[in-house]
Amino acid sequence: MKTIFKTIKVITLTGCISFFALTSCSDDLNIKPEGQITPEGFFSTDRAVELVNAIYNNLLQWQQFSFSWNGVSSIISDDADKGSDPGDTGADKDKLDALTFSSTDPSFNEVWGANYRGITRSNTAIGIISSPDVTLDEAFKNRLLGEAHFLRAYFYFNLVRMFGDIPKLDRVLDPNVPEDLAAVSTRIPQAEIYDLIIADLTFASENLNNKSQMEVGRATSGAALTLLAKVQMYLKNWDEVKRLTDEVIASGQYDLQADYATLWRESSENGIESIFEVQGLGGPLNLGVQGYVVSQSVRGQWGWGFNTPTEDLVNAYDAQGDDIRKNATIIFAGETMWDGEQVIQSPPNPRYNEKAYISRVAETFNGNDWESNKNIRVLRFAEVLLMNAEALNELGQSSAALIQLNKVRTRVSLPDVTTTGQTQLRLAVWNERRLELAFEHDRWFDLVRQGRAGQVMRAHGKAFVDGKHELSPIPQAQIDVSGGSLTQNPGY
Amino acid sequence: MKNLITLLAILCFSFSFAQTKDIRGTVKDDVGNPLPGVSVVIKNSASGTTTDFDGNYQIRVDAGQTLVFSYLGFSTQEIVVGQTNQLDVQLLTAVTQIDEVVVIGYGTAKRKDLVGSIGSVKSEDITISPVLTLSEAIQGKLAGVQIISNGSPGAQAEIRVRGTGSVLGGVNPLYVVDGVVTDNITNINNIDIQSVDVLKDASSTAIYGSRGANGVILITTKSGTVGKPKVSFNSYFGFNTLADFTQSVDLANGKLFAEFTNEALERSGNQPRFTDINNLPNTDWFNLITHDGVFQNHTGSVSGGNEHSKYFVSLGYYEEEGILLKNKFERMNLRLNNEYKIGKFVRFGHTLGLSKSKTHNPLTSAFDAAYKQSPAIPVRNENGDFFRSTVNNVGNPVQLLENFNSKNRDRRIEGNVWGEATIFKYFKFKTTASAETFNGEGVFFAPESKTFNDAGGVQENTTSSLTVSETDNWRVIWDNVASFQKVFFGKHDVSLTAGITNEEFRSRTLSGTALNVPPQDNFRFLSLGDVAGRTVSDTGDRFKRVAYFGRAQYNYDNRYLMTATIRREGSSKFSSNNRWDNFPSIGFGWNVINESFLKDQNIFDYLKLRWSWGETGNDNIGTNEFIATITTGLNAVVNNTIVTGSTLEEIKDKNLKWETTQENDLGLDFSTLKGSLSGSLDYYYKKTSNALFPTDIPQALGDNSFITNSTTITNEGFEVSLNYSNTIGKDFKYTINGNLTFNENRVVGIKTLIPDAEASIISGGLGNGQVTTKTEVGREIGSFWLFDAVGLFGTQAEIDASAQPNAKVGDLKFDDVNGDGVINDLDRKHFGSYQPRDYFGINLSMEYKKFDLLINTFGNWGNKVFNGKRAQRFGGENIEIDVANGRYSPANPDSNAKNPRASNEIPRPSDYFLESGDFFRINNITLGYTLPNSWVSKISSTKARIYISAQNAFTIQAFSGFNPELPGDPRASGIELNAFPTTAKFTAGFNLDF
Repeated sequence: MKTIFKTIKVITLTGCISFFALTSCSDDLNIKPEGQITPEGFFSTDRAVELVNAIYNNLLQWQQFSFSWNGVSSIISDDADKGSDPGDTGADKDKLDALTFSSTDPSFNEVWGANYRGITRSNTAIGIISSPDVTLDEAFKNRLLGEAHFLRAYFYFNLVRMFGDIPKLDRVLDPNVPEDLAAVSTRIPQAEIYDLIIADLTFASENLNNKSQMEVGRATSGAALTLLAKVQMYLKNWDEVKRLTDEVIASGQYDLQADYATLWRESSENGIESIFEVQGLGGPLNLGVQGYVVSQSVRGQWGWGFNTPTEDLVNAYDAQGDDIRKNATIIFAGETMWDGEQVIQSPPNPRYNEKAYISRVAETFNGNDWESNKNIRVLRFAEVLLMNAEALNELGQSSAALIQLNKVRTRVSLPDVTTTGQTQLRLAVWNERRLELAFEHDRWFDLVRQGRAGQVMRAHGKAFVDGKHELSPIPQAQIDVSGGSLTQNPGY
Repeated sequence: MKNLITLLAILCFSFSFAQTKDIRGTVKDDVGNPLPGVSVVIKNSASGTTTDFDGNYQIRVDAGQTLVFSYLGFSTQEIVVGQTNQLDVQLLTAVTQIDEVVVIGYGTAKRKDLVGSIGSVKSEDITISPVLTLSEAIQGKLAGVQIISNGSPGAQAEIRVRGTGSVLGGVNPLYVVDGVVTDNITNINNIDIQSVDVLKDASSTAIYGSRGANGVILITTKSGTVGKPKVSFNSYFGFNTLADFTQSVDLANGKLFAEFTNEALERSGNQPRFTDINNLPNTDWFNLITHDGVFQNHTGSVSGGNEHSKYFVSLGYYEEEGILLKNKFERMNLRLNNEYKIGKFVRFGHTLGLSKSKTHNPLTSAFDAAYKQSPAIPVRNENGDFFRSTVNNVGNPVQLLENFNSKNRDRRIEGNVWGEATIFKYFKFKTTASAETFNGEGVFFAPESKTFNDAGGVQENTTSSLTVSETDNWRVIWDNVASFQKVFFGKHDVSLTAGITNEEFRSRTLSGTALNVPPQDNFRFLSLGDVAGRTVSDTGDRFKRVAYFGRAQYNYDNRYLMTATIRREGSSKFSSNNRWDNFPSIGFGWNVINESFLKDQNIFDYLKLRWSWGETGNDNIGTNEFIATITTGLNAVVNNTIVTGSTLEEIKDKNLKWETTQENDLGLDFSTLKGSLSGSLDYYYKKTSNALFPTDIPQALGDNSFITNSTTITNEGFEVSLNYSNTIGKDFKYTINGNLTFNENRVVGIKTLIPDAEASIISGGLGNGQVTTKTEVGREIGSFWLFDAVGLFGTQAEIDASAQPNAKVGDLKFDDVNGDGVINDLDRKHFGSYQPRDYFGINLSMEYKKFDLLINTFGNWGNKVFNGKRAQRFGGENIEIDVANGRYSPANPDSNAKNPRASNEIPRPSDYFLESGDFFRINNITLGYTLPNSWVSKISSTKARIYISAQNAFTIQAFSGFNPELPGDPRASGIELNAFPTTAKFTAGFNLDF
């Protein structure tokens, strides 16, 4: 009896020990991330395109193309007021409007971060796609690389126009590598940044197909040439501007759309005049530029009502008798819109940006005004003509310039400009740019490029300080995290 | 019933030939659990023994001699040996705090043998007042344990044990329910809880290794006791109401709002908005969205058992309406805790808790809208549509509630099955398989709506949408624990415990959305929506932990105590290089009272000193924080369709490891005045190194934050708890229990990726572009970082000479700290934090004849709270009467006015909005009456008690907002950003036992 008992105990004890052994065997703690993809080999074939799609995705982000971008490219200028209710400052939009901003105001940090995120995604796409592990058809591979280079150039162009000298990052960075960390905190002269942009766009123009051969919405060789022309315009390389715009014009891919009023409507999306657009989709499934429409829609009726056209802009249209573009660009309080919708009689602001208007009755709209169907026209053919005209004038070919300028004017039923004096014609082209491209995020940078920002803004009643306001302040937060290696722009 | 001794004498063998015989027996406690280590000695002799692990003893004794059974924490019993050879004894607990048995990690211990700091609350103190959650029941009752609740029905409170020891890694303690680790305890019916033990110091928590750093709360549910079935019913009914009699925030009426708004507009050069301010609507939004909600709770339980099995079954139902319209919470609980004995040396059993709850979620943002919306607009316009405000971005609160439709159904099962074998006399082995499953279903329906709701989101729904989500969590734990206990040579009591634990957690959340689903209540199914536009999301998580642990306890002569533990743990949350770590602890105790030199004193009844040290960890971060994974869903539109985009942009620290906390604890326990006054004092110093910190990195890297082990945080504090019990006359008994904790929190070091880079976390965003806190070296976590308002501008000349040239007379003037003529972030200062310097609880219980009265109070002082809802005001939103009155105005051009001028500008976050967080709350008053036995015996009841109770009825607070108890992220707590009124509860109920 006793022995049996003992035996049972020994068996149990053995059982216990084996329990321990058993449980300790299962200590395999290598668990692959559940439902999350690790990078090994993921992009090596057809999924490589997703890397490029992700760069386009950055264009849809609130921080990239919406509120802050409107602030630093539009509200800041003489074309737009802050808008909205006086009490709603939009964080710092009142200060941008009044030119009283400082380096701690968040819009600059958002735009900085968003464009660098775009650059990082471009670098990642370029790095992975051009690596030997990725097996793709050579032409397809080059097309993808072309798109990534185009978009990287676009982001750099935004940054260099705003901030001047900036960190130059053209490869995938590893924060554990000291040189890489140093690179993100070192400002590189803008000439070198422009070199990178030009190289990127040249590569893109050589590797991308033209509009008719590319999927709608992707960067094309025409887009690369147009953006390159614009970059060269900022650098005043007029021969290049002329050569590049001539090439775009000669490509036969583009023309002016007959009716200016419909340019920003859904019906004209990716139309004949379109060279590069940010694509939104507003069907049952939504994917659009976050907050672009709602932040600018009529306050008290459709949205928040920021970024409103100034009286000065109205006067500029009226001075030319330019009703077509005025009415296509500006929503007036109480007006009946083209789709029959009635704007309320007394919203907090007298005018709103019509280029951000989306029709709830005549266009695709599923109720989501945060991400809507609205496409943002980044580059269009009218600007090619105007750049061509500006270049021709600068090169002393004023009569050729007039032909291009007047094409743009004729479309909106304005009489031809006839002056051939270089200075007057230059001013005429500049004014045409303002009226044609109002609210297309160029006015401020144009004024700075043209060297008359101080003069124009002071006449507009804003305390523009020469030698300071031409450049935006480097965001204080970025200076702080760089340990002080990033330097501030003068005056801030 | 007092001093009940149960003698169960069973004559098994008869040895008639000798007077000296072997007596055997089992010693059990008052609930029938065997008591190991009970001293059994023959009176007036040197011979004796102790009971083994199963409470069994055997002693050679002469008939007529007296056996003395003594055990710490129990009343000593003396029994004269008669004819029997079997003498089973049941010892009654001596109800003093020092003698109690407490639950420790993977075992139990007598409080006298502890070397660490453990706070306990027993069943009676939890169930005496009618509150829903355990956290409410123990609020203010334990030193070193701060409980911050927001008062939403069914919500889990934030608990901080000895300060805030992490920024990112989670700061709530680990919950262990009957050995099942969990992060949610709202499913447990308070009436089912036997005891709650809070392990506070590292020597107690180190056995939980990587999850011990924030303290461990051990919850033990009830089990049956030997005896006939005991039936118990508990019910209460009551109502919730706005606790606005002590905590009101009064908002301007239509006229005052209009005056203020007009003045603000005029001051900024705009036309006044309201012309006839005497004929405006006067809508009291709070009144329209709240009501007095009723609640009821019913629990019935049956328990009992015999020597072979014990059982406890309970069923509970709870239903509560919140004060916010539509908000409702319903919960059912079932608990089944059984234990079986098979043969002589095997026991097994199970605990099983099932709960099911249904919530109509509260739209707490409606409070916010009610706080902000203009009182000068009606609820509806003439044609019956909801009125829409165009002067602010605030929804119509009544409409928001009407359109809001969000329900959750949760089911949770947790429990374990265990088996225990006593293999040799001193050696036991226990295996426990525990599991917890959670299944939650969420249904959110947004009807068609054409009205501007909230800024920043979707503002109209041209089609309705339905979102349905299903969450499944599954956690399994397998513990194997071997233990050994033996007293050597009468004085050397040695206990050893060793074990292995394995844990695996999996979860999956599946959710889908469909558009254009009909609005009827019974149509909340995705298939009824449009086919186009359906979306689906499916995500999951999985991790594992494995740990080996051991504990050695040594007690010499009940005088010198030593406990050492070690846990070696591995977690799949970290890379293989950093996956394993050791968490040791050691502690010493000295029961001074048992020293011979204290033999003759009569000041102390008990005196103990203890010191302990230990190291614990915190792995409470996301599962894959060390692996850079592909970011998916970065889609774009090409050819008018959505194309998928993904990239690799996460910046992750491959070498991420757990946070490590080292803690020293020095404590003293005492009892004096013949046991009527007892207490504990503890000093602790906790240092958390490698705390995870989301360091800002240059955005040029494409990601703006990098989580790494970079921070060192200390918490240093002092705790006192005192308990005084006494009687006055024959019928009046009372107990006063008080506790007080001082804690100082500091960030003492932050390493950054880039040398000299700013190492701080700026947080506490107000939603208007303004921030309020900065966590940095030398400050508390979440320290308020604000502009210093030094008064109002009285004259234009003063403005011209200041750093605020655009200010207007009557505006707040800020200190230009660095004197650079500009007010910017460089002029901010630290103003203290939300973390209280001291928190305390005072609890009073009294009994007079059949009446009992319980008063629980708690509070804190030395902290700050930020009136965020006031500071985030956008133009056109309502104001508090307190702000509008006494403002600087043309009629009151006083630069010493209490409040600045009327303005629609977004104010700078300054100390003008910072208020004292001091408060004192009477969170519970319960008055009970036990019915006379002569009445209740007629219905065969053994005890019947009726009571009335008030919760949160009375608060003294310095804060002008709703509630100074503001739980939240450690970086940004103490900010009342959303209006959330405190709820008071009034209850009547009864307990009935059979």
